Amino acid sequence: MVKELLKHLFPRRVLEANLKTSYTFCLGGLAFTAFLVLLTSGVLLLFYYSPSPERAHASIQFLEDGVWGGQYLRSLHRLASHALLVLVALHTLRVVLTGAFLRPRRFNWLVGCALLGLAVAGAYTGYLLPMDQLAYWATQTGMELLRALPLGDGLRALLVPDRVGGPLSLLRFYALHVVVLPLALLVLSMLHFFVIRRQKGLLPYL
Amino acid sequence: MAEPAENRRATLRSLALSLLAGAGLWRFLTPRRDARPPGDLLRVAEADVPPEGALVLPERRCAVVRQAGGFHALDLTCTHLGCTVTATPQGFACPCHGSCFTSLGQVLNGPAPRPLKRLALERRGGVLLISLDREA
Repeated sequence: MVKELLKHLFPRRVLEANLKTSYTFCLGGLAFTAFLVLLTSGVLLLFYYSPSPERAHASIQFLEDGVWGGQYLRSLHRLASHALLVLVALHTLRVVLTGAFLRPRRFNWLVGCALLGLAVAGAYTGYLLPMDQLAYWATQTGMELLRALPLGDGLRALLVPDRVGGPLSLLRFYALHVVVLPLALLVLSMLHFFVIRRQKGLLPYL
Repeated sequence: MAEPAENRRATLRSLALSLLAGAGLWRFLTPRRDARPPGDLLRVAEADVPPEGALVLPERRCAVVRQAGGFHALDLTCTHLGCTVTATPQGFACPCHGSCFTSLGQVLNGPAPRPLKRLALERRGGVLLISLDREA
């Protein structure tokens, strides 16, 4: 099956109209590229980050001051995450404006909406990790905002079992940020691309 | 095609299983509260509170205010979105969204919807006993 999949990864025929970048601007592909940059730089950041309230900030300070390329790597990760959000938003706008959310692409529109939500969640959980003042207060207010939602108190209890910036909640944001959300993003992206390919659309890197 | 009854059974089974898994996951992810034991008391010497001023304990998110010979304790958690308010000459101000409170905790302006919570306080000899989890 894997062999079959690889064989069909590249389309045999491509419609000339689909090759015009002025239609999609390849925004989805660019967003995926930003995601790949995030994965790579994120894995490298893992070698220095320490997810405990006492050591988190110090570990980032060490990365910035004592590690060659550390500042660059961290900036890259942050800028790529900004880029991902901007590109995903523009991609969504393009899909809305060209009516690409209509049948037969409705299923993929829903997958895309889930990807948008995951991207925002990934960015938000990453926000707490440096444990500086901005991170702490932004998470404090965000978790308070969560309570305004229906079932918000339950959601808050899942994310923050102790208190904002406590050891358990930091570890939870960390686990979500480095394992759960990227994995879900990756799996859903593959589904997204699979459906595009089946609907004779253009894939990134093709 | 499966028989409708069989189909229904399979659906119900997977529904029950996911509910069970969800409940288990919920229990796994919400541990016992290790919050401070009930009745946690903060002890402050009266002499430590400046006259017509306040002793601010940001770590405990609490301030003891002395005014006209009387004492009261305020919870420094902003009633808007939960930031810790800081003491100003006028009273208290929230660094997050700019709510301002009087030294008695009343809202002066800003998005905060309610006055700061007043904590139960007891004078015993020269010592003030403040219950951090009980309102006055």
